Amino acid sequence: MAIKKPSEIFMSFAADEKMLEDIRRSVNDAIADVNLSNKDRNGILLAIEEACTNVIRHAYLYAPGTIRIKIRKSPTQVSFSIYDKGRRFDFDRATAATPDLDRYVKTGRKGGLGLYLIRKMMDSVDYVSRDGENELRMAKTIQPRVQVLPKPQGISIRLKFALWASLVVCAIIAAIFFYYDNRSSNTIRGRFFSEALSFAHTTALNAADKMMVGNELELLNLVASAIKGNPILINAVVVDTAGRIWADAQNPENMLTYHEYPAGVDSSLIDRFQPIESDRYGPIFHLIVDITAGERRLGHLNLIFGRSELSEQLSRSRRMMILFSLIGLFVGLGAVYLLSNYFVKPIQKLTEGVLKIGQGNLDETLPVEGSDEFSEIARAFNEITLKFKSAQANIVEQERLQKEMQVAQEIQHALLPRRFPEIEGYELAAVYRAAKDVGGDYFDFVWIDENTMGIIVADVSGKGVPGSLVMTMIRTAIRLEARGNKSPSDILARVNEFVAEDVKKGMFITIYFIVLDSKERQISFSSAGHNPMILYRKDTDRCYFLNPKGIPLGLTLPDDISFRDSLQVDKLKLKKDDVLVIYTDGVTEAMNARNEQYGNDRLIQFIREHSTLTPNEFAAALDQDIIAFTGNAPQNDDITLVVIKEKIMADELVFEKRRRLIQMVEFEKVPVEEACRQMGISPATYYKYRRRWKAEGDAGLLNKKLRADEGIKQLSYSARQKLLATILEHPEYGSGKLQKVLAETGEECSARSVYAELVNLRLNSKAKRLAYVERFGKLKPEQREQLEKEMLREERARQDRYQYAEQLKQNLESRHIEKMAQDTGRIITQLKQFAPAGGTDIYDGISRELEKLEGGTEIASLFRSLVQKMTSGDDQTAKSHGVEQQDAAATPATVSTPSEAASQKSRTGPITVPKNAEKIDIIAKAVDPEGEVPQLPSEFEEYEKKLVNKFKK
Amino acid sequence: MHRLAIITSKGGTGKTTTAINFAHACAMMGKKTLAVDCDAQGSLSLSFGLNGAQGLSDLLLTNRVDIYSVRPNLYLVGSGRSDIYLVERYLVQQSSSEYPLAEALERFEGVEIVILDCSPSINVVNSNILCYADKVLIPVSMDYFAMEGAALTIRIVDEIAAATRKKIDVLGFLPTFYDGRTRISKTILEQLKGKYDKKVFDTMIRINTQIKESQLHHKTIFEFAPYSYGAYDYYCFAREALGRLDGLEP
Repeated sequence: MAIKKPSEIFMSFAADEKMLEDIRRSVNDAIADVNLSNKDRNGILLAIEEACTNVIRHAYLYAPGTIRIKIRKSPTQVSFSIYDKGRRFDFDRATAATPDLDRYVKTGRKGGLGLYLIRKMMDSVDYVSRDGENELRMAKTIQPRVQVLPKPQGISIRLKFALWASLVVCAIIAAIFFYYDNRSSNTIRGRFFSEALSFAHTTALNAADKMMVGNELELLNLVASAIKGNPILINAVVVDTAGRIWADAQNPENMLTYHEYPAGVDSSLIDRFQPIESDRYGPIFHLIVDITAGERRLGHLNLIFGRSELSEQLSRSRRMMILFSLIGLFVGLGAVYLLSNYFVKPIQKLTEGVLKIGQGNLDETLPVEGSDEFSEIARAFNEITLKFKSAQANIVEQERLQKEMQVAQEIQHALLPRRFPEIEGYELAAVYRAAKDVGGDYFDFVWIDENTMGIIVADVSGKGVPGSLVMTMIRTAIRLEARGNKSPSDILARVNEFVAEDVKKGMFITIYFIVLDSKERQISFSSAGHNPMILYRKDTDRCYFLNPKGIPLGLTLPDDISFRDSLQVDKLKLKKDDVLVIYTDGVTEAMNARNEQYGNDRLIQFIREHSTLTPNEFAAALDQDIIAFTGNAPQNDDITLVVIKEKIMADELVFEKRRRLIQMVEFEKVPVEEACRQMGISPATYYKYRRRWKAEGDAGLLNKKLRADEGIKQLSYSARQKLLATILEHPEYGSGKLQKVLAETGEECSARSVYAELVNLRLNSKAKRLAYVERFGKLKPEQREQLEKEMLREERARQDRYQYAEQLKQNLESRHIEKMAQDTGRIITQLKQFAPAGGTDIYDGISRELEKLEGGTEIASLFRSLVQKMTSGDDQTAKSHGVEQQDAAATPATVSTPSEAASQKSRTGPITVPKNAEKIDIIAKAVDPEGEVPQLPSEFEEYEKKLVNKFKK
Repeated sequence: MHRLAIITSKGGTGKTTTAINFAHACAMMGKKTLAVDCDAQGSLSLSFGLNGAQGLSDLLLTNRVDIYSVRPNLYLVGSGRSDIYLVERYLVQQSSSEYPLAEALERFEGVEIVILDCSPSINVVNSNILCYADKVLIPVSMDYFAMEGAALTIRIVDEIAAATRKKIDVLGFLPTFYDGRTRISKTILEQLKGKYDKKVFDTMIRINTQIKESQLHHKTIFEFAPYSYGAYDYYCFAREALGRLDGLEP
């Protein structure tokens, strides 16, 4: 029986080969209640014996000692520990060598196989030697055995049926037998008596005649012939009323003697058969009949009938009955047998089949015959088996799927970095929490060079195995391309080239790539359509969404739009304790049971409240916060978080490094080359710093290129919320006024950044802002008028632009560059009067119009350079747009690379009308109509006339 | 600038055919016309010989598009290389904008009439187009389902107009595939007129094999069979339709 709780048994034996039999018996007794097959049991005993033998022979070297055995039994396994205090042996070496069995067989050698045998028999073997005591630990797992159903004991249903049926048949036949036997014996008796009686009366009548005549001889004749004529009649005696015998058939000599009744005969009983045992005739019936003549009684006739005839008849009839009964019984029992076969066979078959199925043979099907209840059962059982089989198959399939998922998860987990690399000056932490299914999130750290590290956070649109395979691909590609390449956009573009072909259609990957340069203390980053990164500025307590433009990887793009060009690179410097949080949408879209999302607001709030934590604590706390938020709701998407914290003030570090260099060379007199080698810079750079140091002192060593304390270009999260609210209130406010409103509420930002944000939100004109308010349904009546007026104004401005553009184009065609410059100047002065604030918009509009014209790109660039020249040194608003490229280069905080500028332009920029003249020609040719086809409106009139005429009829 | 969407939820009622021929008729009558293929199948682009060219979906993805000049006065924007529906979904996910396609369409300017050829369904792309369009034209082929489809379409147009707080005029119902020999055509036309009265155009497009043949040859009916009654029907329809558009009367 199964053991419910683990139990331990200790035993101790003297180390002597004589004790082996004892040990074997004791162990066998100890494990008697363990559910083991005989084979396993014997194996265990053999293993223990081998182990003890080894202890006696090799550990104690036949010296006296003790062997202690501990047996521990649990429902799943039984383990043995054999302790001895003898010599220890090299278990590892002994187990490492697998004995060459062939050799053993060939040489017929015995012994030496002990350990091998033990390992064969037991599931785990271990050897520990501690404090002078050796322990050999062995364990055997108990295989849960399929219990074969025991054969049902006792009477089978068939026997039962046969017994009962036979009993019933016997009872019926016995009843029939007794009934008929009784009836037939009665009939025979009745017939016998009535025949005898009527014979007696006839004889009596005849005798009466003779008696009246008084002729004794005649009477004697009569009785004699009566005896002769009736075989069962033994004797007839005629007696007169006085008791004298007139005729006695058997004893004529008794005539005229007095008649004596034999013993046991009652003479008063007339017409009754009186059975008596006569000394002379044996068993007889004695019948007395009156002899009468009219009313007068003459005497009586005594007749003696033999009883043997009657009993013979009776026994003959009974024999017949018994014979018939026996035949009936046999027939009945035969019928019972056949019936039992007929009814019980299906049950037996069913039982056999079910037993087979019960033993695990699921392919067995039960025979279905006819349509009675048994076949019904069989059919039902077959169905159950089938369902069970398919359910089993289902389970197997599900297990396979689960395994596949597990594999995918394992792949993915293997891809995730196990520990976070350390990079000078930054603290990193990451949290990854997988959803139930394999998600498509991934993050990684790669070293670009010894001072620079790339951080990747990615999200594949597909889940499961395909998703994780794409991840693997991306990982490989990134590792391959990132080495020595500090441009995140370039890396992403190369990775895209690497994987674009292989990514399944409809699947795309968003990636955020961050390059941390620990030497320059600079962070550059690109995003391929990923969630924005959040920057938390400690000193101002503000959060910023950093979201460089970019298309996700894996989308099919038109030929002339390159993925590479779509990517924008932004650069950033962190100040001490600033926090960067990169995450996937699993964070913001984590849902609780009420279907609310975690959302940006909560995330921002959390970051602001917990910015003082170390990244490790921060990441863990945020994860906890999300868990607390979602509660019991299932996790739909992977959650990935990477947190970067600046430990040192970047500029200070660089400054310190440079000053140290100068000090080394100037004061410690280290050779320049040696110092430069130590600090990892070129001598030329050193001389540059030295020059600056000589000229400006220590201040010259400060970093001039990128200053962390410069304002960041984007608006902070809170500022943006306020901005949108203000626009709803006052759509008429321009960027300058909006900035002032923001400044009043404590949001420090430049008008330029407000304008950039407006462009980003596509709210950079009054008309657009009014339309935005209208969309919220908050437009006041006077504002509606304003909106219409604005739209009209924009329309007019558009027409103006078109005219200007035409004019400029004509100038250019006639090579009147000077005139063009004049015109441009005129436009600018006009515009200044016309729309001093939104003026830059119009330059842009004009250049857009120019680009639309044939060969316009050239004119547009010319126009732009003219505008630049004319407005340079002008007010700030004019600067903000048309000269963006130049301006951006000089903006210290976030430097836009040309690709950014390009994408920025194309966002608000023009729709290019047939750029490629050839293309149109080819298309025109391809559909070049043959025959008379109206091409021009003038020809059309003619055609129209003809057409109408034809159909007027 | 008039923004005319040719739309109905029922397929095969002659939306694209009407778009092709109406656009060409407008162009011939001297109206500067832009035809936009908003159907992912790109039938309109195909009929002008633009196969797999870039178009609307590329505009959404990359902010630029090539506009092809296919006939004098007639410009065409194809449907693009990606499925416009997928692209639209993606953009809605990525940005704050609710109707990116409608916003993209807003950028077309400088023509007198924009003709949008829609796909026969009610989906996001068509909602976008309805946000942009200010007039709808509903071709109704002469069968019962087409009429029911037209009713459904009108309902959706009204819903979108109410949701976006703008006015969308029904320019009219154009009876197409009219076959004078059959009683059903007459019955349906009668019912249509009974239901929508003046909104049903007097002109109807009769069944004409040459119209279908013209598509095979990548031509409009005016080029393929200029004196067929198919050409005449579309000519008459164009006159009638332009008559209903302010500032474009012929």
